[in-house]
Amino acid sequence: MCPVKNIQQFKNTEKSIMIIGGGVAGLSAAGILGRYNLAVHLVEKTDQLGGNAASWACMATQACQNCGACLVPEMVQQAKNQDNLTTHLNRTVTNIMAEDGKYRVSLDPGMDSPLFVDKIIMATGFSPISPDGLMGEKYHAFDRVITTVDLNKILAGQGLGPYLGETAVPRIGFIQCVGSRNRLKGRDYCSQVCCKVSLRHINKLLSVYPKADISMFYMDLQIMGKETRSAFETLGKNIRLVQGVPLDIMNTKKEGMLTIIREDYASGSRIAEHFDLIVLSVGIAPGSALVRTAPGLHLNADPWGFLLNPTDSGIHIAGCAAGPRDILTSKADGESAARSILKECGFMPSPQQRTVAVFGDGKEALKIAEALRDNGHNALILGKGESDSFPDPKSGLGILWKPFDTLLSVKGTVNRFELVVRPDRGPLETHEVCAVIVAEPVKKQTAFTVENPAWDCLFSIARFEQILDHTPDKIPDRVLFHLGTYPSPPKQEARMALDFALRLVKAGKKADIIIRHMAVHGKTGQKTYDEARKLGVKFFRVTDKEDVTIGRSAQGLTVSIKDAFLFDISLRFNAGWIVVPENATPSPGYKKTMDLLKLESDCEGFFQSPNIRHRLTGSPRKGIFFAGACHDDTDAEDLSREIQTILSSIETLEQRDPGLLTDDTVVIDEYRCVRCLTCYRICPHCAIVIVNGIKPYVVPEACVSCGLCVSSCPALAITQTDFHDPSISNETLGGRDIIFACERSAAIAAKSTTLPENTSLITVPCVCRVDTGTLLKTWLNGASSITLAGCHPGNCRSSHGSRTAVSRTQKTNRLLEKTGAKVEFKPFAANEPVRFQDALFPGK
Amino acid sequence: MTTIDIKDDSTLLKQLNLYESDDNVSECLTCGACNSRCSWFDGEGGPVPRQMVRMAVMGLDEELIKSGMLWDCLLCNRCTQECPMGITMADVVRKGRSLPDAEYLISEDIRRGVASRLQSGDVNGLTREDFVDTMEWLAGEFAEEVDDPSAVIPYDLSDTEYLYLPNPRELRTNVLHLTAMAKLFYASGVSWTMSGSHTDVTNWGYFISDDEVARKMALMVIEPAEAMGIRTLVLSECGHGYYALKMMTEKLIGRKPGFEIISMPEFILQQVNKGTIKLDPLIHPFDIAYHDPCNLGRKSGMYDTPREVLRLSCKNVVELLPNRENAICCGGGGGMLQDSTSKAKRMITGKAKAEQIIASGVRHVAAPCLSCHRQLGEISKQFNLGVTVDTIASLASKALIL
Repeated sequence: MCPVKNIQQFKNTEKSIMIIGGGVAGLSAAGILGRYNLAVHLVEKTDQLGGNAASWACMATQACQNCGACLVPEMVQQAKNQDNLTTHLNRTVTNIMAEDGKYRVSLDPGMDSPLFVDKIIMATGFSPISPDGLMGEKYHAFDRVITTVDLNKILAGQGLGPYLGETAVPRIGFIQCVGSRNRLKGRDYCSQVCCKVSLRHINKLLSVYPKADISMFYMDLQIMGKETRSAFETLGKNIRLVQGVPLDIMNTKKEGMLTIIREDYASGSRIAEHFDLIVLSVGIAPGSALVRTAPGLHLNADPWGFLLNPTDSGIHIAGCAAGPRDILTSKADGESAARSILKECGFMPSPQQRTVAVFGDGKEALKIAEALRDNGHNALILGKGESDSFPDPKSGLGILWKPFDTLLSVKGTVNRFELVVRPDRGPLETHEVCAVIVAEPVKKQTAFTVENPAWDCLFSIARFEQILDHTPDKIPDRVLFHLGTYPSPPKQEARMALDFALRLVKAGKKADIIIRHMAVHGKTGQKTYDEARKLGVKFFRVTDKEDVTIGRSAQGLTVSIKDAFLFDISLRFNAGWIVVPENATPSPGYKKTMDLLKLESDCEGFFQSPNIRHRLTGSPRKGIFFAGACHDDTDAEDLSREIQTILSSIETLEQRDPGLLTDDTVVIDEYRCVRCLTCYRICPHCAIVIVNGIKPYVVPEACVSCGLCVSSCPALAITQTDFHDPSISNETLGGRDIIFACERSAAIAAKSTTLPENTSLITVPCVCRVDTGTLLKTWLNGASSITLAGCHPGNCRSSHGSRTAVSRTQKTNRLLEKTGAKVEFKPFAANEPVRFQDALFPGK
Repeated sequence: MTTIDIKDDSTLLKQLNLYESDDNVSECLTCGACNSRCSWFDGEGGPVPRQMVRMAVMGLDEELIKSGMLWDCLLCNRCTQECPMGITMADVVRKGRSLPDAEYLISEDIRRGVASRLQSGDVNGLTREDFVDTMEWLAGEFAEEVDDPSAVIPYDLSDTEYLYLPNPRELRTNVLHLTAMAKLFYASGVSWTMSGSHTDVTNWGYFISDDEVARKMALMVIEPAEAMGIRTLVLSECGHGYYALKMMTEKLIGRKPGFEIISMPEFILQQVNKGTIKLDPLIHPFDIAYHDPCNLGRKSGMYDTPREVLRLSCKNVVELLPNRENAICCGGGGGMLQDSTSKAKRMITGKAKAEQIIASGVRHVAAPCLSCHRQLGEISKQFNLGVTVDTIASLASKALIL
């Protein structure tokens, strides 16, 4: 533990901040605050930083699965290196009192004097729900009933061998919603992340046991988020999905296996099934009793104990303290809270009327532009003329609206982007903007078609909203919302359908909803769902396209539904209208935008950073952000949060405080430079701009110091001050095993391993920093083996580091072919110390 | 595939959607937990709990009746013990059974029993004369048993502290159980009586789910007992009888009865605590497992009292797993045991209990319910368990130190 500083000495000289909770949200806040002239206190009740996610396993298989757990060891390390951060481990906050414009915080075990702080971030996190009731009994009774928390630890450690023995075809059952979505236990909310967690676990298990027979028992499937959805579509084919969560596990039916009972279609009855391992996918419960310990703060919690946004401006809530969240959202929350505090503490002078460009001309873009305007920025909207609902430009005062102009090029980089635009008429225009927010509208496609498109009783949810708002009298007595479409409807569409159904029944009409996977989103989703059922909205469950038949009748529509819970019964009723969602697909214009921004689309063609470090809203290029449906499956609530995150990021971008750590470590020697512009061309972050006609220049704010340009410069004109060419290249390495380890992944994983005596580990900023020449020299100097230990594909901060390393490895091996030498590339994540050890030093 | 028009206001749905009481099948989350907890387990046939709720929600009253699930259900409530929405399956099924169209499902035995009970106060049609005959015949036996020529089994006394309400089987096929109970009253020295006017602790109105019948049956016990001026009604060990009289009466008759209602194990524990009787657990020097009757445990919340009495009466009480709230039904609940044609089904529903007993390794099982007692005896025979089954009170009676 760091020595406790005497806070009194700071009291009147600088602002001090307290972060309660050393998990993802707390650490990410500390990571930002720690770079400023602030005294930051991080209080953690356990003996180590990192929170729940610290013990989670890497989920990467062939590629990174974007969970973000590997960021934790990096954040912990960063926190340890920050001088102005005082970490209080093994301590809890016992009392907080507002006093003289500050907060007086008492810690347990007690200190000599209480701490006085100016701002507090509540990042108190969550507790995984411990299985209780009958499930709890079974969990404690059977070794082979484990939770997802246990599974994480097992996967991070020695694997499932001790649980599954020699079997190559293990039968594994995942039971979802353990502990949550339970009104009787006071936890009638969806924990949001567990389905995603289980799907990643299953993917990981299938990579180890390709023949494993895996069943996922679910109540509803929360497969929101584009990547989760496409991962699910693939994975869903290799596993068995069973609707219905067993609540009893027995060991009495089959020797050595666990038994559950479920209803079975084929037999029309209940059947027993047997498993080698049962994984309970446990939900998220609030982790803090702070509402009680800090009565002076007037903190409020929702009915489940998650903290609500405080009225007191000095208090910020971040991460799972506010509700169930995944790692990346918690991280974004923590950073956002920290940036708000920086602003409140005066580190961010008011914006200097700089312009931010918003790409897109839909409702989302307008909402973003308005938020920018309200925060003192100028907003420039650049559309593609796609929007039919964009309001009169005059109503958006302070917003420059250019929906029909054509964007020709994007030059420059963060803080100084130059957008060249060809207006409707007139000469080319150049706009200088400090940042770009991409919020282009998605292409919407109706998810359901009927025999006769001329039917006047089929409406999209968007169209229905207009009718509901303006001419509700036209709505018939019974309306069917069809959310059982393919693929699962976007989150926002599902949420709107549920809200509209509720409005209809409250107005005395009938509403029915067909669902396939999930109608519950967000913390309060289940409340709406419960209310809807209670008030008589009927929910039908279908599993197949064929389960819904809709015909025309004199009364309107005749609907026949094969409900998943009833055997051999088709339910029939009449409805006036059918309302269907629209699926979101990438707009054809996205490709052009991506080309202009020199960014790549995700596998589905949307805007999304390939690397979790930039997510949720960032991109590989500093100053370029993504928001709304063009990058993820977002609803209105998500978009508001994204806007907050982006705004705070933009405000910190604008400031280059001299006291800040800077990245200006990569320098081009203009006398050695031959102006080939290789660096300009390959920089994954577009951090290199051309100045004075033809001179490449590294923009420090945009550079992340990966070193790709250094290792790729044919003229050897680029140097990196914080990382010199490994001196190893001049040494004699007789018989040594050399590992070049990425500082973000393998080098962190290596920290908790003991290296064998004849092994040298060289930390590099990115494996792409190691060029073929260095590899050859290392070999010629006598290394007995060379390994490039980089990141999992898809998790390289510099996007192409791992790919570059692989191709250089192959090239080196070709060159060294006759010598029998072999250079290997091996991917690791920072949270894989055990795998690092096993893969590189087997048996040691 | 049958096509059925859904009904938004079926009779059953209206009855089950009492929003203000949170008793609302429409709220079913369709989580399916109930399916995994049915006391039929993976046995052939039987109800699919979630489907019953689903049929109710969709207004498929007729299909629910036709499905046969209503009377295959053991009303054990195990399936909905941890229902996240607090749905109570026994309520759903009982409301289903009470539908006018479901009347034909009632078994002949139960139909006859209900008629007899309403007519004569006893499901077996025991008349007052039969009762007096039995009592007189028992008097001599009892005096011999307790070795006290003056000892009697009192009946039709007024103003006693206790009135013992027997199970009809105690007056026909299992009179030894009655003398065992009488012995406990005798030993404790309390003023007690039986009554020729009501000899039946059961209330099959509960099974047929006809609240009017259940109310009449309850009043047939309560009003004469009140007239006798008793202070406490002691119920013979009977699961549904206890549940109906103790837990449902107030709702059925709209008032509290003018006396306290306790079960036999409760009576015994009270007397032991007062020091009026003493029990010697070494009389039963073997391992004995306690079976939780659904009506007593899950439905009435009584778990500890009978266990305590069993511990006082036997040397080593072991637990069947799972137990208490999650206990497995004997397989005879919900009126099944009262239907003589149900044997084959009861041997399916009893299988899980049998396996549970085998897993525990015991040769003795105790249950504070004469229905469970009979069913457990039958499954012991069927599955060759070699298990002796006793009621709690009879074990206590044998353990009495006179």
